[in-house]
Amino acid sequence: MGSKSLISLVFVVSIALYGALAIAAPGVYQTRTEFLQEALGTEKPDSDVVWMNAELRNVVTKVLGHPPAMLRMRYWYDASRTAWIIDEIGKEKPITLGIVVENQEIQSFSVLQFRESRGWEIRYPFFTNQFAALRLGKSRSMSQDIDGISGATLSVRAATRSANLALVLDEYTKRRTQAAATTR
Amino acid sequence: MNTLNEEPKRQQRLGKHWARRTHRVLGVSSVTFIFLISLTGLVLNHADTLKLSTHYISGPVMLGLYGIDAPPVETAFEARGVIFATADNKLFANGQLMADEVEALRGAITKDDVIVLATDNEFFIVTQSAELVERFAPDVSGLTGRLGTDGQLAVADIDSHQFVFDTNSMRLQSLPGITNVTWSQAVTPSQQQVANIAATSLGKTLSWERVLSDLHSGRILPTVGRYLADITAICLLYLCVTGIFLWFRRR
Repeated sequence: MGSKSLISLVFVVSIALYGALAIAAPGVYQTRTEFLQEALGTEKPDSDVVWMNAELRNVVTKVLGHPPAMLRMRYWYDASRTAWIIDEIGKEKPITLGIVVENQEIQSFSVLQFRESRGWEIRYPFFTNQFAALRLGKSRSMSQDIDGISGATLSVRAATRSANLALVLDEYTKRRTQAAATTR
Repeated sequence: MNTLNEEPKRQQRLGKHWARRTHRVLGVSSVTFIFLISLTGLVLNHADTLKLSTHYISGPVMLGLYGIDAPPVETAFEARGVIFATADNKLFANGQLMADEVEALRGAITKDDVIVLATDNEFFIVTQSAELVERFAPDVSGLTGRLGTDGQLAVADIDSHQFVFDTNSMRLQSLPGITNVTWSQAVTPSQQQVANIAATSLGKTLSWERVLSDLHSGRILPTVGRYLADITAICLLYLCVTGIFLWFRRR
């Protein structure tokens, strides 16, 4: 191989590596509107809130390992699905996750925004696909374990906690709706 | 017999050998650094388990060493007697941390029984006792410049267009022509509140992971530290080489 060919090869490989890193860099992967459009088929679906009453606050604290940051959680819904946008801290900064639940099972899981410098690998389908069809198991934990990613342990944990929270809150909204229907 | 006489001499020769002497001197003199590097390396290896990135050092000496000063208060607004301020990408209520990853505050108003705050790109609903109810980033192009009220509606000025912010649905609706809007005015927080903000903000600036990592690499001391770490690494390499050399010579 001549020196010119070698230089060309190094140049092409460098550009390819730079491109790969640029694509993988932290950032906004999907806006809330795009997520809701994809999840529920409309940009402005109906929304409601779950208030963190004392009972729910205890449950959420157990699931997240820390108290909820806000007094109420917003969700969007249609006839069969609920969509949740959850901010959960991985290492130092919050990761924004979009989770859709249908029939008490996770229908889709996606990373909307990643702000930290490491752990962004959780956005890829090889990781997010693990959440498909997961439901609540014993003691309100996930029905199956999630395989980790080397070097992204804290992001994986944050993602798993968020998925668990979405299932818990979805279950709560279903119970609330049933209770309201019974009262009527 | 001859061999027995030669052995002490061989040992003596070996003891005086330059490699043994330098090995001994460097070994003893680099003990402190090797101990420091090994210990910090061990702890850093378990940084996640020990939660080093979320435990912070707030001592003035360490913060001074890093040249970390109190962050300036960007903007501050008052509602229902509570001073809300942003500094260092954090939102504070009466000097207490309320939320992270926040842009500059643009206004604070009272609506019904809650307080509405607007930053460049988000809205916050807060109780009168300064508890965060909900935060929301609307998908609108443009940044919020002002937040005000006409007595009933929460009005946001986004790129010179008026929007009404619904605190229940957390939606913005374009509604030009609202008159008699009283825009929220910036205030100056008291010295005590600035001091509280500084203390809270500085208290979450320098993590143990950062300090231990800098101790490990020598960067804790500007310039000199790195060279000290280099010297320690060279010493370690030298000790490895001379150690093997002396072991072979003895055999």
